[in-house]
Amino acid sequence: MEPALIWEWIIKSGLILGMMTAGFAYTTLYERKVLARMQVRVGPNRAGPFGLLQPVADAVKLIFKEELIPTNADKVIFILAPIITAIPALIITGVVPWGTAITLFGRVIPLHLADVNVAILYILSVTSISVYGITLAGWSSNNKYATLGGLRSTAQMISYELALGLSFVGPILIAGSMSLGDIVNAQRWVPFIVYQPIAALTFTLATIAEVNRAPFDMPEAEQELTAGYHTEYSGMKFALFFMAEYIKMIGVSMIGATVFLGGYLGPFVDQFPLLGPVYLTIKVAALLFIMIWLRATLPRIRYDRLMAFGWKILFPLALLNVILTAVVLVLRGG
Amino acid sequence: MTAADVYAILPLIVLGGASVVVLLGIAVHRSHSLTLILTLTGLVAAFLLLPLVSIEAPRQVTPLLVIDSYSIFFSGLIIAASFIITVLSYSYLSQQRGHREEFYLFLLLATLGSVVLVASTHFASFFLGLEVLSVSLYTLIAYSRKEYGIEAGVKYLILAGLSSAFLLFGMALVYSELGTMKLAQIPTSLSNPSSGVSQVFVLGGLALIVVGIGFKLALVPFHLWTPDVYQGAPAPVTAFVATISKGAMFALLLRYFTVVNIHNYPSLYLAFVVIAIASMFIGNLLGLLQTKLKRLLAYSSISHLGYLLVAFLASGPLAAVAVAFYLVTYFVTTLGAFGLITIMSNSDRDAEDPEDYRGLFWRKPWIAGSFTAMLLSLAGVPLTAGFVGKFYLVTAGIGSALWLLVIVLVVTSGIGLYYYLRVVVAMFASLPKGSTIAPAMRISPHFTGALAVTILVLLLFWLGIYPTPILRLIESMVTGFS
Amino acid sequence: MSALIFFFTFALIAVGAAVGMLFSRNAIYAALLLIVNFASVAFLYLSLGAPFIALAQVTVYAGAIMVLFLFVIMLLGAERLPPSQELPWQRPLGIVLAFLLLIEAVYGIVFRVNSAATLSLPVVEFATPAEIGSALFSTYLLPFEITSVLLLVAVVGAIVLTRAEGGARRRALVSQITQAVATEVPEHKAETPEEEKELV
Repeated sequence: MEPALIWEWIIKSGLILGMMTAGFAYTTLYERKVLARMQVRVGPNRAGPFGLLQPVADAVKLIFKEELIPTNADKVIFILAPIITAIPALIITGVVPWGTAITLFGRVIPLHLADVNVAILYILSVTSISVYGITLAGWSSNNKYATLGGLRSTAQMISYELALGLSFVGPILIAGSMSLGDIVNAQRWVPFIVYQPIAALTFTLATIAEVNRAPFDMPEAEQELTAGYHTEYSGMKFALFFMAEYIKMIGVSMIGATVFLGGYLGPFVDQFPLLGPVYLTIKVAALLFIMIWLRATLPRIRYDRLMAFGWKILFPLALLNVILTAVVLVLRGG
Repeated sequence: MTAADVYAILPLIVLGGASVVVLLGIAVHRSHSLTLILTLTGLVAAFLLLPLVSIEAPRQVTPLLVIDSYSIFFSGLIIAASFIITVLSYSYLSQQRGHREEFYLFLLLATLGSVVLVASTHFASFFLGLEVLSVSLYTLIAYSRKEYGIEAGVKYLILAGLSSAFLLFGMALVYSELGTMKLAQIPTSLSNPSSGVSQVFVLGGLALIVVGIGFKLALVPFHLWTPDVYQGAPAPVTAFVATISKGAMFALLLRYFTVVNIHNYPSLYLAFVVIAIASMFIGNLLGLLQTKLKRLLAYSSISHLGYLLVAFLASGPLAAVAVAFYLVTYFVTTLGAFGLITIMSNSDRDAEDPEDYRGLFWRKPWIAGSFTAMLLSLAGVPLTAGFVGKFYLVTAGIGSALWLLVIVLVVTSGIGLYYYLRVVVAMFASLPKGSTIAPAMRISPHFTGALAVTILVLLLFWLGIYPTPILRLIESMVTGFS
Repeated sequence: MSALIFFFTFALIAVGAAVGMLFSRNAIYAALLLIVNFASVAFLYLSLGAPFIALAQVTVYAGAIMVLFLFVIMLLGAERLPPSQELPWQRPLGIVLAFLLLIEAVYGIVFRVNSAATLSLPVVEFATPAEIGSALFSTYLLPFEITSVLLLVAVVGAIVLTRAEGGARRRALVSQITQAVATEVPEHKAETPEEEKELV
């Protein structure tokens, strides 16, 4: 293995982590701005021009906040939980391609970290691991609101993971591969949202539940559970949860854009490979806008209805889509 | 898979299809008798397909299953026993409250698992068949959700899980040495001198597989679950555990260890001898201490599996016939005994206390008489099926000069006779004056249960007096499997 | 060489996590260590060139199954085991037997005549999702179907055993819970059955 390749990987990984963290910071600003506009307000506009330095100010505040650990909390797990939450969020996009390839210093550099043939499975396994952080945070706080929030989120994520996994199957069947690179290439002419509207719908709903966003933000329902699983967290540990939530939003938007909207593909992307990341960013921003829009519009669903919706509507719908896709593909002789 | 393959496994497909039909039937219209009819139709259809399929036999269907006359014979035995148990269950469940229909679904699926087991020629089908059987049984055992039922279910769940782990580990060891999970390739891989197979691992693997099998058969060091599960499970389910589950496993044991010639492994052979002797002794000696009838039958079944091991160790052409015939008689007798318990049970509890049987003869002579016949057959008294079966076991044992085992068999049978007779004596004892009749004693047997038991009693005497036709059938079907 | 280091790192983590799980007196820690064990085994699969199995292991075992374990432990509040269990002779016997098994395994590995040459090395492409898919739906269709039956049994069995039953059973449960609450909170302890009903 040549050293240059290893350096290439390290730089790419650092780039992804950096972009994700920066993306997190500005997604919070984006969300606050959009929410404010929807509620006929201005939003943060004091720190820097147009409030652009607001995330920095937030970060400084969080870093200097006092760290509290409840007396009867399970200290080890209490400290581990935010880390366990943040890591899956950071690594989930490792398999998403950003573009085709660029030539830099006489080296052809593919614009993805790892284009593996089990990319979809990788995403699912990282998603399934990311449940632990929230569950453990809830349990280790030794606080009944936190525990309830943790348990709720576990139940919710398990329920919606099924629909999430099944909504990937349609695109996989059409592309004939689990690699996200192949899935993007199969969308060269028509994005999969055209062929797979049901899958796109179930994917969107399931991912919103997966990242615990409104209207599925049961684990942190303020009225019932104060702040849910992170009731007892403060300072940097709270910031990690906060970060994980927003990075997960970006992550699932990237995956959604890649699987259903054609990923980095767009006009002239073959001539100018650097356009790839731009197109991807635009699509991600659009999906993020939808998520924020939903939060601004919809009230929270009652918990039992949330579970019933997941198991009785979303899951059968996703299953039906799999069957339909398979039958149509076989009939077309695919 | 070719069309001929699909044709060969039609009985399995019918069983699986029947379970789906039953499932959907319950979902559409919940009716006890409709479910019974669907279940029985499925079983009869599967049974009737067996002779048709045997035209194609022997046929290897994928590496996993073989449809030969051996597997067809045991499939037939299992499906017939399942038919009887289904009928008994109807009589049993008619008195129970709550949902009854799902019971039949699990009976069908457990039957399917057992049929897969007897046709298995690959570790994968072995394990999958076993798990389908076991998981169905967990539910069936705890089905009544009474106090003992849940306890029995949990005990069976934990121990069966543990034994499956042993089994899997054993399979992994054998596979890691031989590089194959196909039964037919194991002897060739073993005898291949150039491969440098480490006998330590193969032997260790086989020993672990024996642990897994021994659990299912309730042989002695692995028998601890038996009395509790027999007592806690509903009577028809106990019958299932005692007959079909063990019978299928024994058929598999015979097939696997005939292919992997057990005489090549003196230590394994010795282990089987010890297990057989221990099963015969402990089954019969601890049986003496039991007062509850179902627990008594549990120890009885432990000793019977010990007897069966004698013929298994004799391992000649006669041995397979002896095992098959003994299994038939054991099925008939055990089903009969549990069938009678089923008939006498009511919605509160199963009839198993000694008081339930005291003086039974003076009020229900037919039931008492049938029960006496079953118990005598279990003891191996002449004119009953049990005697002929045991006779064949002894013949097979003597044929291979297994004197020690044969002597133990005879001696422990003598000990066992005592506790069977104790129940018989209780049934004929006169009731003390003024004693109240236990609730379980007010018997109004459902005609289906009575019919099933009548058939079993007739079979019992037929096998005991004129066993030739069945023996012919067994000789033509069971000998010469590979 | 690097493959060997990789193997031993994750093998050590796997074994350490398994041992830690056995000795942990806290069920949550035990479950977490089991997850670590599953994950490190997944890395071993990865090093054997079987990414599909590795990721399936993480998704199914480390992800789905262990989440349910944690869920149940937390719901039941069964985190802490009782301080010591009365198993006077089973524990030493178990240790001795396990030690014997270990010796046998070491003996088998050290003194084996030949390396395990009987296992044919798989082709490079053996573990791609496409290969696994076509094997599952052609050669191993039958076990695949039997597995589906197995899952059907498990699903229906779980539902049948946990179905709600009105009337007597629910009342029994309510009284059980009342008793549990009453023992936990002494000042609200129910003295008579009548009071018990009031508490509910």
